[in-house]
This record gives sequence, structure tokens and C-alpha cells, in this order.
Amino acid sequence: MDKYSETSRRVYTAVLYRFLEHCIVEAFTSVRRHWLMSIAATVSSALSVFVFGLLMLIILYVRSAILSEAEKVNYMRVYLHSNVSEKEAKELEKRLQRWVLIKSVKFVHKDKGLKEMEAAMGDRISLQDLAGGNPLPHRLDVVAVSVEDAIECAKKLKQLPEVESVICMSDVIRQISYITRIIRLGGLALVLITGFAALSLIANAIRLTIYARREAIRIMQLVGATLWFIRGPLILEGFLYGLLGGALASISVYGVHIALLKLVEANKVLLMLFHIAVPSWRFFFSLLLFGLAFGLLGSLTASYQLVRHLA
Amino acid sequence: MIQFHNVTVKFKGDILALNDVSFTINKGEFVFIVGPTGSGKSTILRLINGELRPASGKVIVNGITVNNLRPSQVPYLRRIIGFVFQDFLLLQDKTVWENIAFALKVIGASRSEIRNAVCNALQLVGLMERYNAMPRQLSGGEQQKLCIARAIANNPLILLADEPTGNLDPDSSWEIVQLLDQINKRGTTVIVATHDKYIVDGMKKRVIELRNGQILRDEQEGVYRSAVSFP
Repeated sequence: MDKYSETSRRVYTAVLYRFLEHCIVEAFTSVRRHWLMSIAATVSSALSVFVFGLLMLIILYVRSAILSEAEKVNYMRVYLHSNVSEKEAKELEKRLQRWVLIKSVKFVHKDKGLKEMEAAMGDRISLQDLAGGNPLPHRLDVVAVSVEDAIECAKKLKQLPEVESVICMSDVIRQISYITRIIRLGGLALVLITGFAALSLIANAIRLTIYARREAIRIMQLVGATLWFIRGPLILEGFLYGLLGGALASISVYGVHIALLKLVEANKVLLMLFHIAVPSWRFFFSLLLFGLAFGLLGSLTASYQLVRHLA
Repeated sequence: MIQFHNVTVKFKGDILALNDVSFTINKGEFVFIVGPTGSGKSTILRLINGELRPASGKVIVNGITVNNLRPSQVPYLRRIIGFVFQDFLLLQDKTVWENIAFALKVIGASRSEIRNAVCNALQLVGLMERYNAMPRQLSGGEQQKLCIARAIANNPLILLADEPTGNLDPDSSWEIVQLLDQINKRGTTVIVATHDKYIVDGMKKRVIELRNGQILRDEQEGVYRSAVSFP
């Protein structure tokens, strides 16, 4: 039994090795022999991923600009009732820190609040004028996790018995929340559309390279090559075009980003108007992966359809 | 080896390619299938190698019922069948050696198996000295010999040839048919679909004549035109 399984394992390994060798040799030979077609397929895959990447970059810039504004409106002031002591306020601060909707909470003593107000009002108010004592209650400065969470958070805070009032930029929050939702949905739709276009372009380019090899495919079918022996090199070819295209597109999008960054940094007006987010290496790596995925999917669909068609 | 039981094949638009055809070809036989264009000669070959499925009836090849084969099983049927074409179907960017080796490589043969099989096939067809030539450097007859070498490299049980001499002059045609005869004498069943009167009459082998998708005659040691088909 052991001897049998050892033999079958060896046979399986040998067949797998021959299959992989066949795929690699045939794919690279085809890329070399049909170099013009290979360049066309790589360029179209690079172009598709580049357009896709550019769109993603713009979405990233817009989102980042909105989120940087949103950080300012996530902030809210929670005024407590005047009978709430400092100890009770600090306990409430600790309780709120555990809320999922809240990013940070900071207790502000009523005296500090008064000083802040004095600083804000300038000469128009002074501590000496308030002979009757500090009329301000203690307050908590709360930052919600996101713009969408800010309104929900304010509602919940208002329901607390210790809270007298909550001041937040609810209208602005609503608007920003609406815009971010639109951008997210619109971005998703655009990404899907450009993704589909990229996939079709790559599939067509690979379909052309397969069509150029229809005689070889026909011979393979007639001599009894299995479907995977026929499709393997074609899929690997698509993988190569996707990989190269993805890498080229990644480099190009990075180039565009650097150029934009330099342009904005060199111009003070632009610097005030635009917020250029810096994408992480993951962004560019994901473009490479997109290229790979598009290449693979494109070659899978193209090889499946054409091998069927030529059968 | 090959059995056709009441086989009917219909193409799109209800065109009848074969109509209730039955015959048996035994192991080691050499059979010519003759008949005018559109009579169903190529359809028979395509049924044998699993490219087509009959609308009704049964096709059995080496004990395998072709009707029941799943698409994934067809390649394994084709490994016992060699196919020779009128237009050679050679890879123009590969040498003589590579053309044969390619056909073996894609069915998963090892390097040593490929080396031996290519040598044997080239020796049999007499192209050993031209192993490094490109197909375009070969004459029509040599290209057909290369096509035959590729078809027999895997030692198939059956060799199908669809108009193998269609593009050749009479001398080259005779050479090709002699080669097919030589392969047949080694035990391979050979089926040739042809229009070539010269080779059919010269070989005196079994002849199946088709007309409008039906068998008109099936004769041992037959000739191209019989009294039945042309009274």
C-alpha cells in the first residue's frame, strides 16, 4: 500500500512538474514570439489599471480632504448640569471613553471653561465682572469616531441625566455625512465601471494573442491535450501581462501623485485649496494586485471562450 | 475496433450529414472512405475522434462509446487516435523535431519518451535528416510526412487521414499512401477519407462509398468508382 502510494505520489509530482514546465516554457515562448501582441496586451492592461488607479487616487484625495474637514466637526461640547460635581463629571468621562461611537473624551473644569471664554471674548468679559461666581457648568469635550457617528452620539449624550446640552455642528455633520456617502457610492460605481472596462480590455488583448495561436491550440486539441494543458500557458500569459501592466500602472500613478504633490507644494494658493493625501505603499501594491487579478480573470474568460470556440 | 450503429448526424438547420449509417472496422484494417464533397466522409472521421456527437445511433471506438464521453474524457480518446490533415496543420514557427515533440509534450510525455518517439517517427517517415528544418523549407510531400510522423509518434491504435493527398502531386501522393500502408502493416488501423481515384484504385483495400450521408457500397479490395455508384 505504502509502495503504491509512494509510486502514485511520484507519478503525480512528475506530471505536475511537466505541466508547470510546459506552462512556463510555452507562455514565455509565446510572449517572445508574438512580442508585438504581447506589448499590445501589456500596454492595454497597463492603461486600464492606470485609469483605474488614477480614479482611485482622486477618490482618495477627495475622501481625505473631506475627512480632514470632518475631524473638525466630529468635535462636540457636552455641557453638564450645574449640580454635577467634578467627581461625577470625571466618572462620566470614564464611562464615555468606553463608548464605541466616541473616539476621545476630555473633562474641562468650569474654571478652565471660563478662562477659555475670556480668552475667546478678549476684553469684552473678565473674571472680575463675574462677582456672583462662575456661571458655567463643567463640560466634556467629545470627539466622535466618524462624521456619521457624530449625530447619533450627540443624540445619545443628550439622553444622559447629567447632560444639560450638547453643542455640535449638526447641519454641517449631516452635509458632510451625505457627501461622504455620495463619494463612497459614486466611487464604488466608478471603480466597478472602470474595473469592468479594464477587464474587458485585457480579455480582448489576450483573446487576440490566443487567436494568433489558434493552430497550436487546434493541434493540442487533436492530439489529446487536456483542457488544462491548453489553458495553462494562456492563463500564465494573461498573468504575466497583468503583472507587467499592473507594475507599469503603479509606477505611472505614483509618478502622477508625485507630480501633483510638487505642483501643489510649489503654489501657496493651491496648497490652501487642495489637500493632497499621501497614499501608502499598500495603495500601489493593490494596483499591482488589481493588474494581476484583471490579467488572470481576462485570460481565464478569454481562454475559456476561445478554446470552446475552436473545439 | 470501430463500430457505427445506425448513426445519424444532423447539422444546424436540420441538414442531414449522415443518415442511419452502420459499419464495423476491425483492428488492423485499412479502409478508404470515398464519395463526393458533402457526402459525410469527414463527418465519420470527426465522429471517431469525438469532435462530433451523433443525433442518434451509437459510435464505439476501441470499446469506448463516444456518445457517452464527457468533454473532459475526449482528450484521452484522442490519445489512441492519430489525425492527418489535407492542409498539414503544422506549426510554422517550430522545427520538424519541435512539431512532433510539441504533440507529445502537450499530452504530458517525459523528455526521454519524447526523444525516443520523435526519433522513431522521423525514421519511419524518412525525415530524420531534416529534423532541424522549418516546415516552410519542406516540400508538400515532406510536410505531409511530417504530419504523419506527428500523428503516429504516440503509437496510436487508429490513424485517421482526411484527404491526405489533396494538396500533393501523384508521385508524392503515392509515397504518402505507401507510408500509410507501412504504418497499417505495423498493426495500426488506418482510415483514409479521399477523393483520390489514383491511390484508391492502386491500393485495392476496403472501400466504403458514401452518397448523401448514406453508405452506397462497402467492398473489400474495392476501387474508386464502382458499377453501383456509376452504372
